[in-house]
Amino acid sequence: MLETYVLHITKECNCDCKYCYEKDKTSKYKWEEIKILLDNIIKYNKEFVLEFLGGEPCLRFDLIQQTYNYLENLDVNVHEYVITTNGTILTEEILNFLVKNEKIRFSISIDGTKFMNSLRVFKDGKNTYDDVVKNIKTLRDYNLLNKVSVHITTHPYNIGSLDVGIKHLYEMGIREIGIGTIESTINIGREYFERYIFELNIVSEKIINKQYEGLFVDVLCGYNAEERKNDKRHYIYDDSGKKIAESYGRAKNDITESNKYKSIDVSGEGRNLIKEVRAYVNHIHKERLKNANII
Amino acid sequence: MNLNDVPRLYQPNYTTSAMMIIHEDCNLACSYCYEKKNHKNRKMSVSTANRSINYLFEQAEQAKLNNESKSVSVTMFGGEPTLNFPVIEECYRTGVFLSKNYGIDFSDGMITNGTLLDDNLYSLMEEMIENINFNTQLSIDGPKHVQDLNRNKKDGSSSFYDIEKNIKKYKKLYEKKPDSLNIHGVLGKNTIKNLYESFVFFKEEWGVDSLWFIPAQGIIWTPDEVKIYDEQMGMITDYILKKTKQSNSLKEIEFYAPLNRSLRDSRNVKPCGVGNGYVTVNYLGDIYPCHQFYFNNISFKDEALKCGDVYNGLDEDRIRLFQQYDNNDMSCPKNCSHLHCYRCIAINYDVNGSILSQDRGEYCSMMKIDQKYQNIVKKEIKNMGLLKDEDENNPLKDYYSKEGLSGPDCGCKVRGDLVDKKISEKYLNKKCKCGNDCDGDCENCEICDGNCKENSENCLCKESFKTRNPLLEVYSKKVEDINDDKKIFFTKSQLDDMLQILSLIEEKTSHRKDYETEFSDLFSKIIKNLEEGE
Repeated sequence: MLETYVLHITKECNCDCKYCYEKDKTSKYKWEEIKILLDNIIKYNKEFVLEFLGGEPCLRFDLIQQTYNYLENLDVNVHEYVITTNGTILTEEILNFLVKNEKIRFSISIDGTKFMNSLRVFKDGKNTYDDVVKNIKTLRDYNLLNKVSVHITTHPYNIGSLDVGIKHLYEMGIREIGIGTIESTINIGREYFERYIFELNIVSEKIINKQYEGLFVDVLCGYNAEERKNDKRHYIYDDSGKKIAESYGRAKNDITESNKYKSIDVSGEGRNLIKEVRAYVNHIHKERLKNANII
Repeated sequence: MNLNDVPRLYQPNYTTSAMMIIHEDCNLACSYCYEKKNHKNRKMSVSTANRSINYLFEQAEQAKLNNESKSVSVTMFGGEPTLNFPVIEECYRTGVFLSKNYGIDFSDGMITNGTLLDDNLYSLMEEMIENINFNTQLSIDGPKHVQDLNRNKKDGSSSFYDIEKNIKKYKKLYEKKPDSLNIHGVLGKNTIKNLYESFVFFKEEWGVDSLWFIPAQGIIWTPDEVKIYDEQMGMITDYILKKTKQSNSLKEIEFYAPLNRSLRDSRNVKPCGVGNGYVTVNYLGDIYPCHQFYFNNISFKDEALKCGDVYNGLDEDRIRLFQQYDNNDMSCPKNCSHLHCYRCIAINYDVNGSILSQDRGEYCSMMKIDQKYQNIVKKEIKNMGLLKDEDENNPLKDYYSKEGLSGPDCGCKVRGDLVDKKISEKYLNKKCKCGNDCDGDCENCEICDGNCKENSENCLCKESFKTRNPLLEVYSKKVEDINDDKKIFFTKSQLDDMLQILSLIEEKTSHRKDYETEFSDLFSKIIKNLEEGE
């Protein structure tokens, strides 16, 4: 499985989501710092996926372009560049960049319907939903939805409507959805896990009954539980102690083995349970597909 | 995988109180109504009503089995509920029957515009008032010239005479229980100056003592209107204190909301307890957190706001946010005393898209005015010796601890305010969004609930607003172009965008001045430019 490097391009963000786990919301990075990190990554690994994260990476789209141009002119094989964004910022520059460059993908965070998205708010407290939907429609008008995936963060306050949210996004034209789970800022209990399984069962049935034609839901359709089981998420800190990137420890030789950066394993107990539940729903879905003679 | 080891986080929450939307049709067309359309065919059936009442009693029975004492309480609402007589009767008869069967208390109430009270309804109400705790809330704004400004019939004619005729009948019905009849007035922009006049009219002309006025929600109040509200509330407070002194009784205060809150224990848990044992049931038997979410949802069509139905029960996972949030999760400055701030979280959702994001603006000022007069009343009645030290027993505690809808307000009493767990711990020690410690006192920086007097340059709030509206930057640039080259004109769609931004700014209270100045400059330049061009 390919290594994914997650680049924290800036720590600044225009949102203040109620469940945000990020403590550092101010650090900025200069191109020089990013370039050094990229050089170190490719010293060890020449084939990978690169994800831009923040803060909000689109606030520093110049750095995204610079990174892309730099790597594309080197002898490395970056399979995909994924921009993970809160979806509230979509300039003409970004649109043009998406149109022109095939390897760029856009991963938008929106938690389903407007009510489900209640905890994703701007700094003034306003729900980001209206702005994000407007931008998704713009991407649709530009025929770019094939390069767009949506990421739903589920938590105890929206898990009860997960299928409703997926249906809502499907009707908007979204065909690729990732389902995440709140990590450290909201407690989750058995109620959450039970509902998670219940809702994904509904989604699974709908996929099999062809109600969601062409829809890809990561935990059901593309989740390789075996491969993901060994994933170990590392935070990578630079000399000054700023968190600058993440990786999953999938490559044999990796930057995290170098002394240059401080790397901290952040895979915890809670994560294992989430992984188990994901593997479980994935297994059930595959069984269903077999029973329906689809695979 | 074994989920049995994973602990459950939430306590069971029994739904035993409901507002029932029994008919969405109405014979009036009030100007400020938030029910955008009248739906003649959205009428609750007798069997849905029966099932709803059964559901509430089943829940109360469950609570009883878990050693929690709960009574069942229903409020019939519309549209205009009196247009659905069979359901009013069904709720009452089934309620009384089940109350005896289960040994659980039952109370019933109705919110009506007061225009329709025929003989059938009159004799049913006579029986209800005799047998159960049945209260009526009349929605009326004031004397004829006030009522005529906003609350007319569909054909535009006045609704006042019908009500005036019925008020005598209502008074007769509630002769023995005058406390259970109250009037609820809505203050519009055009009637806020009549608040005191209407208050005195209801008291002295009609002899109805239990009164409640609330500023219409979802409209933008101006500072001038807030000042009028302050003056009017001051006059009412003087009136009430004078009467209190004369009678040496708290009755006057007890029956005027919002001043009656000065007699209550401080509610410092959450601005509204809706969803905690209290829900709204629509004509189909579908459950919503409250009627506002239901009516707003008719246009938004957000399925996630439907939280189950009376056939399958409440969907706890869908209503969890309403049950779990508390004042600490609200977007208010943390040093604002939330005490007695009863707010509508449905309006927050309507305006900001999140129940936790307080619709601040002038509505906050109005709540502060309520609070100011509550404090004055509290102080005065202490001086009069009518209210002892706050720590001692509240003389009206027994009154307010009564279950059911008592007192003139939105039924806050039946909306529970239990909180099990915080939404997130980190939210407790909130800092200014720009990263600095804040004292939450700065008027210019409401947007980040805080103050960055010392570091105002680092505050991202203003930047955030710009990032949200990329057009702002585009147009700022265009204005620079105008200065360079007088020949650039704006298209109609660009102007529409500008107007849209202006309306966004209109919604903002924060940094409003900055943006208003910035945009009035910008706009006048554009207009000038257009004029020169054509």
